[in-house]
Amino acid sequence: MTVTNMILDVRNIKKVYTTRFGGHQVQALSNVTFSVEQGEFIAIMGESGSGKTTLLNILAALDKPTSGEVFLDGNALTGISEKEISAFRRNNLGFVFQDFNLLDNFTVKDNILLPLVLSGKTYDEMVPILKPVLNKLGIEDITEKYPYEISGGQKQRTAIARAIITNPKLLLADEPTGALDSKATNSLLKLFRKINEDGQTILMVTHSIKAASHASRVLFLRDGAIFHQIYRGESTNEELYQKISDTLTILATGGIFNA
Amino acid sequence: MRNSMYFKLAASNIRKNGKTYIPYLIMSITTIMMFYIMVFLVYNPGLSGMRGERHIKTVLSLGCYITGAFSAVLLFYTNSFLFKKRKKEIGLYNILGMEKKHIAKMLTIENMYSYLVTIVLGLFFGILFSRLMLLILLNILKAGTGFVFNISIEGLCITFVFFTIVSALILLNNIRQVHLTKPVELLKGSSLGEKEPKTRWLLAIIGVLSTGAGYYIALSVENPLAALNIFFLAVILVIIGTYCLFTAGSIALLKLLRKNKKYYYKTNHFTAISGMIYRMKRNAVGLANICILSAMVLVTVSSTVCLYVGMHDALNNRFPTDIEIITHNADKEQSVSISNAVNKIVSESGYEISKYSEFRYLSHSMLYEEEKDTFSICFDINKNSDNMYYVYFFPVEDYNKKTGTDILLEDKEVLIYNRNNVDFTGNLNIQSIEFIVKGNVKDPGFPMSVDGFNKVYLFFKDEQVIIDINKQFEEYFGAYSSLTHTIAFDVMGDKAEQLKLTDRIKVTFERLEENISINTISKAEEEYVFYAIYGGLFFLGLFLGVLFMMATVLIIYYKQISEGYEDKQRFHIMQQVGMTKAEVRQSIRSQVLTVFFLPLIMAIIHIVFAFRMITKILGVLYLTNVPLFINCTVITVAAFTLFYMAAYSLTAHSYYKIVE
Repeated sequence: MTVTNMILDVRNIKKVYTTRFGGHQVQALSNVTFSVEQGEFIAIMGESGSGKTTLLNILAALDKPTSGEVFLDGNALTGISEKEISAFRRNNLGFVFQDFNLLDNFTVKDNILLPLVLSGKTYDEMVPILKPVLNKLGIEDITEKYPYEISGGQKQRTAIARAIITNPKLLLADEPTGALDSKATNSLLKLFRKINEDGQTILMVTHSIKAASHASRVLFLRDGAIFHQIYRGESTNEELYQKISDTLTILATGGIFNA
Repeated sequence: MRNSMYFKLAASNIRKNGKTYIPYLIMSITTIMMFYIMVFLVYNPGLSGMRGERHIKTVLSLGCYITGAFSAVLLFYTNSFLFKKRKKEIGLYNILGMEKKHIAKMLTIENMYSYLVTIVLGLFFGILFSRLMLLILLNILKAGTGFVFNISIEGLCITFVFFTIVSALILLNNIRQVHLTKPVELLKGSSLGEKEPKTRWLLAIIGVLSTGAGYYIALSVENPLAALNIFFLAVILVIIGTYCLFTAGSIALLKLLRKNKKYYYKTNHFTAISGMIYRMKRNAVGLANICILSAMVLVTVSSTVCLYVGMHDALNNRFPTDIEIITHNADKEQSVSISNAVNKIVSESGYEISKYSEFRYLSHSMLYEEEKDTFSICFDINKNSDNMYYVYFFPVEDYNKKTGTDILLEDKEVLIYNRNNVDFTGNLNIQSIEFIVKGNVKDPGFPMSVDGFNKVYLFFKDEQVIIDINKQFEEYFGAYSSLTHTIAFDVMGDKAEQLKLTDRIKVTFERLEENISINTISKAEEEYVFYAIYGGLFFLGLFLGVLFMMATVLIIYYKQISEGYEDKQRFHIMQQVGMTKAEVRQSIRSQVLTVFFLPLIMAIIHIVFAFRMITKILGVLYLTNVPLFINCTVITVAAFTLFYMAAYSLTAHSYYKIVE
């Protein structure tokens, strides 16, 4: 293997939730270890309750693991103080959510500019950054519209634009196609490929096989641990789709794998 | 569906919606209580038979109407809020298979439950506190101890009927809403799409103009009578202006700020401005309501407190002497016989009197035109109100008698005293008769009422000159324009003795049956009327002040809660995008603070502009002590601000609990 630039390194993550009134404990993640290299497009698959969302929250620094460590570009997330965490998140991570999470009181343009405004950039600095992003996502025409005036696909493009405008080291996506119809899903996935080919590292959590089949690597999560992974290698989307589908069948029927 | 099911559902609905329902119930109980107390006071036999009874009852009845109307509006308002929050729940029932008539039945039972609880508790507390309120009222009126405490049957009946009607109307309105909307809409109900408000420039401009016009009127008015008349015009203009400014003006201003890119794209301005645009859209009317309510509380409380505290000033201003006997339309001989009769009664009764004075004079409200040196009758009180004067025509001997001078005037000469210290020179015309100004003199100290009007005394050679002048006035007024004969004096002795003497004089003149009217006024007697009116107003001011303040708190509470549910989602997204918790909290806090203190600030500005006008109106009520009014206003504003802040921080607590 050639020397690559490791962007994300997850080591022995464990997360235990204690129910509100104490006593009862739920283990969401038992032991998760994996790493992501610069320029990869990773899909994490798993059924409901497999710990996907918990894992994503920990990667997003929205939640802290019970034990284990996460390194983003060499910095330990667990070591960042509460004060710096927001700025860190703003500068290094981009988010795309299933329900878009756009703010209704901002236009498309202002939603996209939000992270830049929060970083204290001036308007003159923002304009040259904004242009190419709008271009890339094909939403130049709707910049003055409000989220409630545009389609689901356009909303998700806006959300992606907001996520990548800060040029983050890692783009985290949580079921990005979950609220879209099949046409919008297709074009969104193509867009993800394109952004990825431009060098953006993407980590996507999904349980759509179709979405996962666009990734360069697919990780399978079961009962709070990485259970299996598939590299795309030279496969086409269809071939990868088949592989994922087979794996999921085995997962569902309770087979034991070792990659 | 089984009937018992409805009752169970209704009860559990009320319990589940406790956070919004309980304040509504408390508000209902309180309004019922206050309304009962007001009706109870109007019908209380303890107030019957006291001097000034008629006046106090007028004031209290007015209070009844205001309390009733205000309660109804407030209950409708809070109910609409409650109902909006519950639309989703009701939509769910509908989709789960309850027909609209079933829902109507459930709502009716809910309404019955809450109505029963509120009317029983409301009347209970009403009866409990009515005794206290009666004591407070009697104490304010200085009406002694002869009070009768009972449970007012009229009060119970009127309150019961009134609130049953209000409650039924509210229920009907809710049922109507259920029937009019489709289940899907009900489901969406409380989270209907948030469109960006349009800029309504016309309304914004109307807001600015209307408020400005109201302020201008309030500042420019000079004549207190005109002030009374156009006060309501100014109030209505400012109310319209306030609504327009809050609904359209605020949004126009915010959008202008947003257009300025350099200003808008800054960390704290960015979220604040766009957040405020939405907040103002949702809250504008509520905030305008709070603003106007606050202004009303401030004006009512400060002026009634001032009137009550300054009552003795006002009484002395209005009645410079203990007893006045005023006769209209009497000729000189009749005046002499009246004067003799009065002196006889006084000497027979054995009371010692002082400061005795007696005048025959003419008085009219007239317009002074400086360029023409003319006083003339003017029927348009709004015209040149600065130059409206109360003009008194005296023979010069009255001046001589009072000041111990010995001035003689010719037929065409006039001597002038005026309270505004304007020096008159050259000629002076009364209508079309020309006089030569002999000179300006100091206040001779006649026992005349002190009020907010411009006053001028004109002294002439003798009564014949004045009668000649009056011939011109008779063209306008006929026999109404006649000389007034006034006897005024102080009595050594307490109020009871003054009253006794007054009654004796009154009895004597009752027997005189001639073509003249004799009016005997004693300060002691009028004091009861003053207490009845000013004390009643004071009581009413405090009572309504409390009611208005409670309404303000309730509106603030509901605003906070509804804001809370809506902000929760935004709060979450902002954090994901990279705002720290502290930043988000700071941003929301500053927006919420702006939203809630804007009405208060606006209300205080209203008060500042209204101040001059209110001072003029108080002048009409013989209250000329401006520093006292300033103090009352400042203290009231300070107290209200404290109260407002307390209400805010209490409700802010429940807001942050929802958001976090």
